Amino acid sequence: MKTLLIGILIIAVVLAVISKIHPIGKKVSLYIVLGFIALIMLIPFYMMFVMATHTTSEIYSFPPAMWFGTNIVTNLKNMIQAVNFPLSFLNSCIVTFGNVILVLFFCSIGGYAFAVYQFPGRKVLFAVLLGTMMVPWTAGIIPWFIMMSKLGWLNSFQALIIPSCANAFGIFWMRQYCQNNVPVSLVEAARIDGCSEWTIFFRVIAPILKPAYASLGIMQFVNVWNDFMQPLMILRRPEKMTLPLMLKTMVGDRGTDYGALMFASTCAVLPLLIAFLSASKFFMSGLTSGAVKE
Amino acid sequence: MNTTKKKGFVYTLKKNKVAYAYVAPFYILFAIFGLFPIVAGFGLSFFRWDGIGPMHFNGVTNYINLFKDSLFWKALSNTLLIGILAHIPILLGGLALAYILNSKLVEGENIFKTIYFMPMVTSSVAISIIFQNLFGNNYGIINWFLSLFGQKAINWLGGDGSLIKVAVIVMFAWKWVGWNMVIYLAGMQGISGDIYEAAKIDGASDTRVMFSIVIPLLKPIIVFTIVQSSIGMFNLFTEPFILTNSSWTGGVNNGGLTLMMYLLNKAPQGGNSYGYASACAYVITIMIVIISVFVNKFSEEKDEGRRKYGK
Amino acid sequence: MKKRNMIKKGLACVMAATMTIGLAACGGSNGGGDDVSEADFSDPESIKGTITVGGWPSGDDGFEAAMEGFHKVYPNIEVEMQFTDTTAHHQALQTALSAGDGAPDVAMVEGAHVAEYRESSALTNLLEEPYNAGELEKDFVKFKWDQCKSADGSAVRLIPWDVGPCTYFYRTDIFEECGLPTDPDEVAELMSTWDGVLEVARKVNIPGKRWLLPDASYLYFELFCNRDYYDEDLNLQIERDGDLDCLNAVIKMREEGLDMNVDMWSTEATAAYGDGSLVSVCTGGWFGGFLKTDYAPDASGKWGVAKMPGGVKASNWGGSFLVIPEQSKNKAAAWAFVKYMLATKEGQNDIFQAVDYFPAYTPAYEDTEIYDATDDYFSGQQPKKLWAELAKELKPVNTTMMDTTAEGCIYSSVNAGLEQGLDAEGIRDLVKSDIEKATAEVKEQQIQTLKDAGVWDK
Repeated sequence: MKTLLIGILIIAVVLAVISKIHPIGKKVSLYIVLGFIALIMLIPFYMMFVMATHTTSEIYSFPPAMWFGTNIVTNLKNMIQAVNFPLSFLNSCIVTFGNVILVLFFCSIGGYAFAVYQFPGRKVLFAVLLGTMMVPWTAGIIPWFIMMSKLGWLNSFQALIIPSCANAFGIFWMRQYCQNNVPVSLVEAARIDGCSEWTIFFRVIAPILKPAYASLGIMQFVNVWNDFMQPLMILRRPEKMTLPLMLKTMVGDRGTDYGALMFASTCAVLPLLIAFLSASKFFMSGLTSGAVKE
Repeated sequence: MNTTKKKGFVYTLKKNKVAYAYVAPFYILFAIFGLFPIVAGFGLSFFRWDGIGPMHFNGVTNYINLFKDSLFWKALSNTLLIGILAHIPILLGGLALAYILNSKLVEGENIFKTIYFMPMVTSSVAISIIFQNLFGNNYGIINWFLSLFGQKAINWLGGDGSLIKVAVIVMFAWKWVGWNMVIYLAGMQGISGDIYEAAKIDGASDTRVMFSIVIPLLKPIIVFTIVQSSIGMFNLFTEPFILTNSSWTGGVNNGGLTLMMYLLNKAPQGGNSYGYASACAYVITIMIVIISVFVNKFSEEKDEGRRKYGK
Repeated sequence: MKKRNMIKKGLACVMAATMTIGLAACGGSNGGGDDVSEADFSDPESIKGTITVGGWPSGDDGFEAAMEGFHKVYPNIEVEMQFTDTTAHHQALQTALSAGDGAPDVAMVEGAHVAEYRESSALTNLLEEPYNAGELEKDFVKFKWDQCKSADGSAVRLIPWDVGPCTYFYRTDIFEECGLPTDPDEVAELMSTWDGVLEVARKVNIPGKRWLLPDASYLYFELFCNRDYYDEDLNLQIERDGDLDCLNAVIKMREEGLDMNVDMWSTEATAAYGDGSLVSVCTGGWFGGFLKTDYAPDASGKWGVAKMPGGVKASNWGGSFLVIPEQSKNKAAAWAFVKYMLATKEGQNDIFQAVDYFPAYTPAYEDTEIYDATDDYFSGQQPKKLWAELAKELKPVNTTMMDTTAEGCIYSSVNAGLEQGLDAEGIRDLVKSDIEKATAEVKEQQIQTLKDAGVWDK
């Protein structure tokens, strides 16, 4: 341990010195630091991929396996035997798409109404909306659960889709976007053309909101797709489980087939990861939009 | 004149109906799934109820018992400790990385950004399962790495339980540093390049630029992330839960027990003490509200800050 | 016109949302229950339908093994299995019961949870007509049946399945390799003292590669396997015969690095049972089923079963029960299933032979050839005979709702004590205070339950 700490210290000092001496030295040491952190960020992913190709006993050996093994097909077979991956994937899709579509719909009409229409009580209602963002949902978690069980919504997807489908933040955010991007004159013009309000929204407004839909959609998608706590409370039957729950059930009394588990983790993580890597800028702005744009 | 006004009134009324229809779903859903449970939860917290049998009113006993329960305090201190310690690397690391990537000293900043952000799109469960393996006692890669330097195996997830927190903190920092970095980066890109130029001409070092220019300018954003994180830490659950093998008691010596885990384990996951759990939920809520009061205070300053720098 | 249309559409939209909620609410509110009184149990073929059975492994393997016999008697009952891990199963069951919907028709309940379920009005009271479970009382191990009775004695909502006599599972091949005896009696003799246990632990140990036990604290845990954490007045009784000697051995073992220092149910440990990094484990007889079907199916002939080390007296770890939720829509078939599986020789013995769940149903012991049989998986030994012997010595215990929580504390508190370098007494005190803290709220609930039943007069 001491050697390690001293080593880190020496490297740090050397890098600091190099960067003082020459601009190129600075550049080099910055790359080293960035690269090192990137390595740390990548190692867990790498280990997951590596372990997905090994048998459990290879994973549980010392030193641990560091390079790809040959057991990937067996792991696939074991995974298929242990869990119904396609079904869980489908469940995750139903919950996530169901929720995201409703969120986008309700939030955009709500946000649009607050931005464009002048109606009595608008200010009060909006203040209430902002107020609800301050209320932590934790307070009602137990009655919420009892309510779900009394409604017969345990083990059903609507418990995860409907309660959260009109969220205050989404409406707030859509309102901001509409205020900045929807010219009232456009709405007026469409009205003069004889469009109904409904048509105006769908034909004229919705296309303008596309970027907002994308950002809010990504934010909501990633959150719901990876959510664990609510599904854990609600979905208790194997055939209803979403991917995170399915992964958790693979660690259990039966003994854990770590190879298969890692294979399943890889399969669960990969779709979103690939989507992210292919449109990373888009994802990053979407996921942080709540914090950056106000 | 008169007619247009009249027409305008009718027009507004009809139009308003549309507006109300558009905003109504939120208020309806909130009343059913948000407000009602919150009110009911307050009532329930004064009862002893196992979810099936009769409800017994017992006044504030649940609250008293909660405060008397040392496990609750343990959960609270764990939550705060993990929350606070994890955010030091998240905030400082995020700022430093954002500054480096924004400084135009390195190329390929998008690649680095993407890599640092990757954990954010990955399921916490999958990550926790992997970290559970990396932190393994006998076969974990971290202990293997340390053994190269002559360190005896460290029982991260077992032992006396205190190191579970270290594992959670490492994992949490690993996951969130990229998110904060991207936010700060967006903020920094909003700062005019002239300010840097001027500072550079004056011969200010990077550290000085960072502390006297960038951080003050980013203050509203930094405050925002701190506030978000401090509310978020009360919901900390998945990571310690999976790391401790779904133990609900947070592993050895309750080392990884968080408030949310404590609450859910009273009901409905494990225990049947619905009233007690509601009381616990309310106490957590009050703590969050106290922090929210700080939010308001800070956000006022935030607005001032924005006006000042014309952002 | 158009505007009105639009308003309608807007409102329809809102209505749709509320309707979805409303309809779902109606859909969910119908309770269970069917007319079980019409069922004619004297004519097995008349009982029909599909039932779901929920539990944890390896119960499903046990049921599968007995299914052929079951279908011979009840050809018209289809059985669906819903099996998951123990914790998840109990949580799912409990919420399904309070929700009044979603529970299986027959559910397993683990021994430690029995006190929570025996009072639950959401389960069918099997003493009533037409079940008349009272007739079965004489056929079951007494202390198990007593655990099923509700506080006021008016209901029996669980039927005992098995008892779990604690035994010592060890790798015969590794014992042999290390020059140790492999015969169960000799092993028990050698390890009957804590010094003997430590000696064996040192011999089999290869630092960083092979350990005697997953976690030494389980040796102490074994002293509590009979549970009996609380006496009738709900006072915690933590002191056991020889507990300090046991803790001293545990301390020593940890100091010398002779245990793997991971929970026996952790993923590291479960992998290690299979690959020979773990040489032995102390646990209930049902663990044989875990080894055979899940942890080490390839290790046939490499395991043995002996009496508990360290002179630990006969104790019982776990052992499950079956319950029929009140909400079940086919209670007749459910009862037929429970009765066949748990209260017939054939059912119990088929399960026993498949997964080593030692029957709590005493007439099953009459099939002596099963109990004397040698087991190839356990190196040709006679583990069933050993369990039968141990089962006779089991003493009645007092079970409470606090048992699961108390049980969870032992592993964690002993390990915490070991890390802090406490001595044996210090560890025991820590365990005591930790259990008292952790069970405070449940204890209140237990007292409430007893008060409701009118049997608490403190």
